[in-house]
Amino acid sequence: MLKDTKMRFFTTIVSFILMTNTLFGSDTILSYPVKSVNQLRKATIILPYKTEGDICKNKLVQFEGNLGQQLVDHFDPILHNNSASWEIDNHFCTSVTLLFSKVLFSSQRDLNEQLTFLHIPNPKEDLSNIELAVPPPGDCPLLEALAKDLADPDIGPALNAYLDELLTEGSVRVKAWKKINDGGINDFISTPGYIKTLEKVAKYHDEATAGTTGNVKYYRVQTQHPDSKILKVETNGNLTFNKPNVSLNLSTTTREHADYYAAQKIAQGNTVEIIEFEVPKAFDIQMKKTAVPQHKASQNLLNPDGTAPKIVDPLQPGDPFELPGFWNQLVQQSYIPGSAKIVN
Amino acid sequence: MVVRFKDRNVTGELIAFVKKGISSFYCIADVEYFIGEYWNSYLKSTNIEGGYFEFLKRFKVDYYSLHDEYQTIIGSSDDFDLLGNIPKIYIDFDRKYFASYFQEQELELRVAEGWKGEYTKIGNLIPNEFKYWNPYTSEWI
Repeated sequence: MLKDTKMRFFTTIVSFILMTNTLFGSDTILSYPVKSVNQLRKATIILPYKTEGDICKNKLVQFEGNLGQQLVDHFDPILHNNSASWEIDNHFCTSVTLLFSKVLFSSQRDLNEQLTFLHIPNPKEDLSNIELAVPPPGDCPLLEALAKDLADPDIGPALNAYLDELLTEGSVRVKAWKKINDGGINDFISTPGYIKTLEKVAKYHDEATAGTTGNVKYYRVQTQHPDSKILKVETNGNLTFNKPNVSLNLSTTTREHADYYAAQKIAQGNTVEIIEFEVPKAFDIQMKKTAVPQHKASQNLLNPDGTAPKIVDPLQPGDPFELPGFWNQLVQQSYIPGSAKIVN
Repeated sequence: MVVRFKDRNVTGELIAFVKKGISSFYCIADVEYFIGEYWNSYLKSTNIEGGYFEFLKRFKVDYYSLHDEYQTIIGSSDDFDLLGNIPKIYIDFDRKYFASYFQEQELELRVAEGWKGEYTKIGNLIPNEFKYWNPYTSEWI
């Protein structure tokens, strides 16, 4: 198996130890025939799944996808730690359990342990039949949490479909999932917008890694109702912030959500205005990086002071946010003067 | 709960009138607490109609506090204070009816299963004796 992988540029061999009841449980050894960690960008993603089929029953099984940039960022510091990686036969090796749990099991370095190499050639088809192998309690919290997600009858099929879609696109956005998980709102997974929120957080990561220069357009839909008039466009293209202490609902990046919401409001008998203005992309990145799902936002561990922007209406088109007063004031300080106009 | 209407975050914390049986009360809570799709996640039982009515009591605001506070702003020319502090949400747990006049998000489309949601003015849904904003009137209520 290791020889086979040498022929595959930028790919990774994944090998799995049989599930045993050893002191440290099972582990997965990740190795790849490259010397630069940057080549992990095209490496194989492995997750310790097992299937219910005859062939794979009670064994850990690999499937393949491409590592996304965020996963590389997650692994990079660990891989550069000498105590967490080693070289055998010109292959850079590390432990997948180690990568996720950041705990070094020195005994797992012995490659003479029994290995099994099971390969699923088409993960897209096989994902529907897999079941996550539950790692030893406490050893691998990230995978434990992922296992819990997949075991939820309300979310398992949807999450599998999400992974399936990401694999098709060529990347697994583990960091997006991790961010949601780190918020500590365990039952968010049961809400209708869970998968869409995962997708959006992954997209925001992609936007951030694409560069920090330039400006991003923001939009706000205001109805004729007096307390909707939080912003006013002046003739010189500047904005007047009538109420900088209130929460400010905005559509970001594209007009998609603003157009949708304006149409909805018009259908309800309202008149609307769509205000467009620009903010520096660095501001947009920071806002989205700080944002948390609206569901139980006040209890989210990533929102300790309650000032985080909220990702709202995840099932609607586009990218709407609710910005608490703190961020309303940051918008006021950061937007590009002269960029504001009414665009409907 | 101490209520201050002047410069309150009227688009982040909504005033709601909720009723069930012969009981009713006002509450003030963050927007997300009025998204019906989420109500189950706050409850241990599946009885939304009974459970969430009780849950919202933790945000309960006394009618007289609202009335007295509103009288302090009633001469204001600030529409945000005058109209933002009028209830934006009405919830009838017996009829499984949710009404919203919130301009910022479509809460009326995200009601609990089996509920009816509607975008409409709230003022006329509330009994006269509980209209703490009287004698203030507006076409927006």
